[in-house]
Amino acid sequence: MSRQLIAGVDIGNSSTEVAIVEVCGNEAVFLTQHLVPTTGIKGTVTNIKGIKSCLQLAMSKINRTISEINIVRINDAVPVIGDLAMDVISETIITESSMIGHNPDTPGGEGIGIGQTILIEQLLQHAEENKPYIVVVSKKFDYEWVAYQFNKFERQGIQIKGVIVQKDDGVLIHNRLQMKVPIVDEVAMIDKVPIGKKAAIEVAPPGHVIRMLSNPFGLSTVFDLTPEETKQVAPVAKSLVGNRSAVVIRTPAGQIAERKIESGSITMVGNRMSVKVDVNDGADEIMESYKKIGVLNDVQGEQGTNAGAMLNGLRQDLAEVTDQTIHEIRITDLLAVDTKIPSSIRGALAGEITMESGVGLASMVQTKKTSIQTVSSLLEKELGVSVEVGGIEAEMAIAGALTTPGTERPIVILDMGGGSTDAATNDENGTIRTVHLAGAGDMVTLLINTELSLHDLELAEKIKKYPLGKLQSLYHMQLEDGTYLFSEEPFPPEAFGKVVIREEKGITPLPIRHSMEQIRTIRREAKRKVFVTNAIRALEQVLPTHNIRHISFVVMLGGSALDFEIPEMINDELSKYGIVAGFANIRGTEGPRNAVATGLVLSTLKRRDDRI
Amino acid sequence: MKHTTVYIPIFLSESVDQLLVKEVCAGLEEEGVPFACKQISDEGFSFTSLQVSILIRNEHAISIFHEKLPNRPYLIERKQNGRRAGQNAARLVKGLPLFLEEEYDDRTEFRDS
Repeated sequence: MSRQLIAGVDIGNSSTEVAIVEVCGNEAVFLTQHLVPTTGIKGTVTNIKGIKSCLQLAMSKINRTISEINIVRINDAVPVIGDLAMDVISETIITESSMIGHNPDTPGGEGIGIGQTILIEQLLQHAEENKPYIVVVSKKFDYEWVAYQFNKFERQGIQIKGVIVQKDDGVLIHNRLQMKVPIVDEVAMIDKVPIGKKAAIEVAPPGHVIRMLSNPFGLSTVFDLTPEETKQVAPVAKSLVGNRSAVVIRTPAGQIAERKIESGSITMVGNRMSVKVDVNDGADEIMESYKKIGVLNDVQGEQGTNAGAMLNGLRQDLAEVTDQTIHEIRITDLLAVDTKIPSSIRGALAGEITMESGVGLASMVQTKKTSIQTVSSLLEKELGVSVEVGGIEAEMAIAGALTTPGTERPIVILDMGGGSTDAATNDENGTIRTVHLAGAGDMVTLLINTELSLHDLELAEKIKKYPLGKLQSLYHMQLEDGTYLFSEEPFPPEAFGKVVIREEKGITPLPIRHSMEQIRTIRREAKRKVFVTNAIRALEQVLPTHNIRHISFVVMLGGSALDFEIPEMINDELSKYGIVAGFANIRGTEGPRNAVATGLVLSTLKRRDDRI
Repeated sequence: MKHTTVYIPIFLSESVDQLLVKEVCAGLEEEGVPFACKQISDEGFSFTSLQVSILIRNEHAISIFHEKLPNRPYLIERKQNGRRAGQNAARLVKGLPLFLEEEYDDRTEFRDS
């Protein structure tokens, strides 16, 4: 009997996987497999480059070449594609610079001081007795000189109630003062501090946060405000919460307004009804309304608002990649999540940021039937090997998943990839049902990137994939669960004292000041908001009864099932419904990867079975 | 050496620029870690219970040593960065992230407009 080499190729949104098997009669032996990032949009000829290199790499693992392969089987990619959008729906603006709130590592002194702002050079020329001052010191003055002048002023009976310093020398000045006052340092944009205005300065003792200036009624006490004015300054207090030190300067025209950007509404058109939801009502409201409308046919955003712009942006992107006109794009699934987006406050003096509320949308559109035939014939030319298009993707995934020890039909699979969360079921009669939902690994990465304001998707991807550690000495770090890890070599100075990502091959220090706990919370919340929500949604939709209590086993597949905490989160949630969920172990060795590629090669065996 | 006191020793050779020493001390003071100046003896230098020592020699850059890594300096700072050398030695004791070249500049520059 002749031996044949068969390759199964699975082209996904984010990765291309192959499995290569040697078939002799009805015996199949898996020889090798490999995975590369997908080149281009799935289901288009741009994929060929990635497929070819993936096959080459897989074959080189067993010291053979592509030309030895007899048949390549590729999957008929599902014609859906997703995209993401995220935007703020509120914004804090300070119309006149009037506050400084930040956490310098070492402010000077403690307590509250109230007075009129004045430059130190002005104070030298003209100072009034019995008038409280808050002195502003730019970086051109040395701390020794500044402290000397302050001590002299004090002897002259001039009242200095607090100091705002540009350089990092608050403690140095404070140590040399005879009369101790609170000092806020590291104020970068000191030239923007309004002079000749009433100001209040507060520094909290070590280990505490400010209490007076972060309380609206504290502000009204300090500045003697009317109830109407108190309402106006409330956003200032809000954005100072949690700081170690702060300055608030009252400028008569100074006003802070929390202005809601017209976030607009979206209209979801379903087969049963259409519902219009205000984006400001939040993600939960959007997802609740979605449940009522049945099968989603399209989503429209209100023109001239943020929601309209977001959805138009999505359409534009999707029209470009799928080569369709913007009017042909129909959104068939939508996932909305609430998010906190750190934004710099307009008019702030020390680069302060505030957490604005925002909304993230993932959407899925149907594309024209992918041109998989074009891909396969071009691939055949390129490789010089005969290429055939295998069966439906979901069927292949189920066939692959069933190679996991301990599984049997009927089976429910949950495929969590980069671009979409898919589910499929196969009952005893072989009837297959599938759903493809928007929002998966890429959305988690985007949420992490935004909420930590990293501006670096690669880094966000790493934070998603690996656990954290906090370096505590030259040789040891604390892990997320409180245990310690020791290193043979001292950690490099760039990483000392920082929160790091623990990759397999080393550590990457994070360039942000968040604590390990904060980063961990953001990471886990992002995963929960996307995957736990989508797991429930996918299962509800894929089951003929639409009740997830009617199943007892779920097999998780795909790249995100490899994640170190997503399967556990989903398992936790599904156990409430009495469901056992676990990630697949394809062929008993491959874990949750390679299901479709495995299914593709196995399906050739079945066809032979049928013929016999 | 007997660990009797809690401070960072700054070991100096005989003719080190006094302004530089003052800058290093200012860095330590700003971070709130006690320090004391000492002379480098023939036996070299030693550590206190804080485990970090600063070495300033005439023709050399500023070196910061850690007791657990005594054979080479953990950090080397140029002489024009005396303040930062002091701050970093203190932060090494406190377990806080260090100020390195680019990052330090960021802190004094305008961040946003």
